[in-house]
Amino acid sequence: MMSNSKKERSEKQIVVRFIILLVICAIIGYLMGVGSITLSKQKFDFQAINNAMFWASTALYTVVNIVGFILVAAMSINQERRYRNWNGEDEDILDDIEKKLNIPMSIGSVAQIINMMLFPVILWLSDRAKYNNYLIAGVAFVTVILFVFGLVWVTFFQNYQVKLIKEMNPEKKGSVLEMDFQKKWVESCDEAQKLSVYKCGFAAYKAANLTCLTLWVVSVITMFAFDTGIFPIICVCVIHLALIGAYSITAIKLE
Amino acid sequence: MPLLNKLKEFRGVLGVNQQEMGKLVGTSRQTISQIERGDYSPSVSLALKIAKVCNVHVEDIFEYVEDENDE
Repeated sequence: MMSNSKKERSEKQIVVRFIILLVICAIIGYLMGVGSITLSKQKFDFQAINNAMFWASTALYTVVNIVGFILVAAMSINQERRYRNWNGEDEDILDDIEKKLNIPMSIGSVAQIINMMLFPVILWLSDRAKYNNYLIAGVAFVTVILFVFGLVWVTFFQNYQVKLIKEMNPEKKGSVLEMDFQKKWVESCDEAQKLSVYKCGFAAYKAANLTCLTLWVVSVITMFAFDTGIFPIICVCVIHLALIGAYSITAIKLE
Repeated sequence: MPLLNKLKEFRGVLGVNQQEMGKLVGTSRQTISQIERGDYSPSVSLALKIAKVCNVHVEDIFEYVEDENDE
């Protein structure tokens, strides 16, 4: 057991390290502030940047939807085929199928978020890109089609995967097409699965916390460097408040 | 927490698969699988249910092993 003096020394070390970290962050913050003011005085060819981002976003959007669809479809169908061919003996195969189903589920979720981000971004950029009107209209039309396609295939395969999991585990309840799917699903989970869900939730909370802090820094810099306005900072802080608020309220309820 | 278990052996004696075992003790096949792999330590109530279904004492199925770091 650590003696009190050793405990005090280690606490002093912690405080000293914290102060050093604060000073380093202050210096970095000052340099970033100077950098953003310097950047704001530079002349950038925003039209060229807009045009480049327009094509890059459109290409990424198309790739995410087509490649994502192919990957998710192939993986999901493959795991269902393995389940249908299962001889009922080796139960490790079921565990492996459930583990491997997580991959297409994750790809689908990520694809959905990228779709939600790029759809309005491409439409916004197309409004500002200096190209032939017919070309812009064509790209905008394809973007809308891909958006609908993305919503359909992601929802279809989420439903497909959940149905397969429910067939393998009949005690599970809920449909992806219902508004209260998450609530029903968690209620049908037993103690071990609830623990997994809660661990995932905490990991997500930690990642979101760090992301909000990082985005706050980025928003402040871009606000001064590129005149992006106050809306990004407000959005980041609202999300952060919702995160901390939900955590705190749940912690109080559980006390 | 290091917890050795012989659940798979006792399940074999009962002649049930993981799905059936789960139904008998009121839990899922996934939890039975996690317990057998040693990835999950059941709650007291679940451990007692398992022991009751297998008709043995809890200590016959689950054994706590002292971790060297605990000393």
